[in-house]
Amino acid sequence: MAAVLCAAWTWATRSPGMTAEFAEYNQAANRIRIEGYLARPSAPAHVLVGSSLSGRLLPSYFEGTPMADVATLGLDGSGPRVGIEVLRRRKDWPETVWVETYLMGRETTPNDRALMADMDAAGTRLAVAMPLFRASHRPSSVAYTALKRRREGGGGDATWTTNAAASTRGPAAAPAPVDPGVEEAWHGLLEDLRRRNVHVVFVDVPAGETQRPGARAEPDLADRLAARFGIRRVDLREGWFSRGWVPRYTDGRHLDAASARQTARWLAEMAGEAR
Amino acid sequence: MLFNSWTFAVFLPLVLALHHAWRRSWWQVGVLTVASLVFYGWHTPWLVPLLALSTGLNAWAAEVLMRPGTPAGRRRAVLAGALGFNLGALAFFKYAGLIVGTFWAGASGSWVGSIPLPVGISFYTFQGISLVVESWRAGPAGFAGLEPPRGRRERAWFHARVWFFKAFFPQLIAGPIVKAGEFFHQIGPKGWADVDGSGALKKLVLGFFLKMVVADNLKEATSMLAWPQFTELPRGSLLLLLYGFSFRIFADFAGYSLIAQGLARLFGYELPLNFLHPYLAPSLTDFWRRWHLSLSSWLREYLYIPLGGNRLGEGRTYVNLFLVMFLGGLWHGAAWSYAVWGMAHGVGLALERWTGAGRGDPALWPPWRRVLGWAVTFHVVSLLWLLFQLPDIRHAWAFVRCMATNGGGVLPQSAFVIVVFGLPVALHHAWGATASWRARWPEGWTSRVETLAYGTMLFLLLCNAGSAGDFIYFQF
Repeated sequence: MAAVLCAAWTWATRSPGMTAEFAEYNQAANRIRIEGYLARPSAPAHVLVGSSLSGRLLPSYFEGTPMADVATLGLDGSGPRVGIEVLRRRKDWPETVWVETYLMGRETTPNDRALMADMDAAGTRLAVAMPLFRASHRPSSVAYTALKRRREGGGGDATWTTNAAASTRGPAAAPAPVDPGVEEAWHGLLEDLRRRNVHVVFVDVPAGETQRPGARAEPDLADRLAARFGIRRVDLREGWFSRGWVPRYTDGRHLDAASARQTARWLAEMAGEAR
Repeated sequence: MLFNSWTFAVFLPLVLALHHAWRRSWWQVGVLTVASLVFYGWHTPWLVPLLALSTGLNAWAAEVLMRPGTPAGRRRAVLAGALGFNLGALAFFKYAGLIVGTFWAGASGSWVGSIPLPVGISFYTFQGISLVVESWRAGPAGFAGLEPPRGRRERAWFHARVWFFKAFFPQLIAGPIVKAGEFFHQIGPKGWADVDGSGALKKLVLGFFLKMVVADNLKEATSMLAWPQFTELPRGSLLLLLYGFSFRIFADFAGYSLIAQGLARLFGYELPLNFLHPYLAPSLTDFWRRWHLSLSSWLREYLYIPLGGNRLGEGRTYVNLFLVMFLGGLWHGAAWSYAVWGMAHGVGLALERWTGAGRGDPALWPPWRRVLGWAVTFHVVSLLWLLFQLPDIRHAWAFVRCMATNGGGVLPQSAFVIVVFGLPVALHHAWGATASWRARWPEGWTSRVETLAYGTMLFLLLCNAGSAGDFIYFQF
């Protein structure tokens, strides 16, 4: 009986739209992204690494753009360093890695460690080898994806608001202090990426702002790393606030589908200029 | 070692093969005892000497208590010493921090506050007490399966069986709590013919399903039931979280117990039933006849009845009920919130006895009374589980306040998780509730539905399991 169900489900999930892009909770959502990346036949041209903020920029939003060959490793409850760890689990490397700056300075959390342990677990290796065991094939996540797509009506368009005052810069903000060990770890990761000839770009993704962010009172971690390694830094928030547009958020911090789709378009526009 | 780990997936077939390789009691008991010690000490080997000390002392005490000609005074002293050792070890490892911390605010930073809790100590200590008390009661006559040894050979076999009883890995860490009288008579040579393979497989599939598909998938959603995260949530989500945690704690613990029973069956042993569709209970009295039965039965036999049970008048019965539930609550964890949880159940049981609400066979109650009783009991039990997730009573009270004051609405993501993964718990209980109706089904229907259900569970186990996590009851 179980074998029949497994065979039927394997067959059913070959149909387009029958695999999950979303999951009903963070850990499963992260598994979808990580296993999806590790199971690809070859590394994509672009990878976006970061937290759940970048996780909203789904690969399907980049279709038909210069960044169509993209994988998103925006991990819920985690950050870009773990995303780069995922890249290291493959032999081949992407051409460009877009690093979300939001949680760059955060120290390793128990969630990060759990994710890294999961990456090396036998279950992940099994999932990479056999699609049936992938999180994207979980019946509950497939159902959740279908419900979410239906509720959001495919992402819609133009659900952001317009407010001319949003284009005025806010007050200058002091960057959060960063543990020297974290900065050291970034040096190692970026040197490794440079040695492998991977192009790196830092990206500021909207993170709940409703007004154009003020200038930084002093260089933050991303500024220091960008200066040291000659890395370009792009601010996706500018696309919104310079036009007087305010993105919409689902929970005050994460972009809704329409705003995420628009943000992805701006990122894709920058991809051509990245090198 | 965890039942839901890859290490265990290698360990089990190996032990099973070795056990069934030779149909000799001493070989099989030896294999299972050594395997159990490996299982127990796999991650923390320092725990094995503690288990060994507890087992060695209880075995010695049981032997002395059964030895013909032991003077009555010595028997009393050995019983008191063995009980003192068992309860003392539990008090030191589990309650020292709580006791000292209650009177000294700086205890948490001292060595007393950092004594680690050896996993399974609450369970194997209770089994040790059961062995000692049964041996005291039986005396030189012994009890089924355990007689006083005569000669060196019998003595060695006596001790080997006590080690096996205390360490048997399926039930070592989180029960079911096996009483000595339930186990020793089962020890003997076991062949494949003694193994109820189909029964074992059913228990294993249902147990792993409840743990890995239901409890593990509910884990992340119900982790929002934490201070101060829940204060921001709408009322509907708070209620769903309460239900979600109720489903999760059942699935986690009942899952573990079923796995333990299934594993024991693979070796030809039968462990006691631990859960009987507890959320069908129409009263708290009935709930405790369905939830963690091995603990309820242990408390009744070794605490409630020795205290006088209901034989010393109504007033004393209420005191006994309250005391047993208070201590039963504290057994769950070294925090006053567990004691409050136990006391609340004790008060509930006493109230039901006083009003007569819990008396009689619920099957004979009118339907309206059963439905009303079920709704009240389920909500009271679920609300009291809050104290397991929010050990600070102020936080639990804040949750109740938020339920009354927060705005309406439901977060769709967590609602989806709780509805989807709570459904199997509801179906499991519905299966239990319809037993008498199913008995009238045409022949073959039940087995067909079971084939479909177990096949679906196995399929979901393969492709819809959650992230592996510890069992909730390990912390007790």
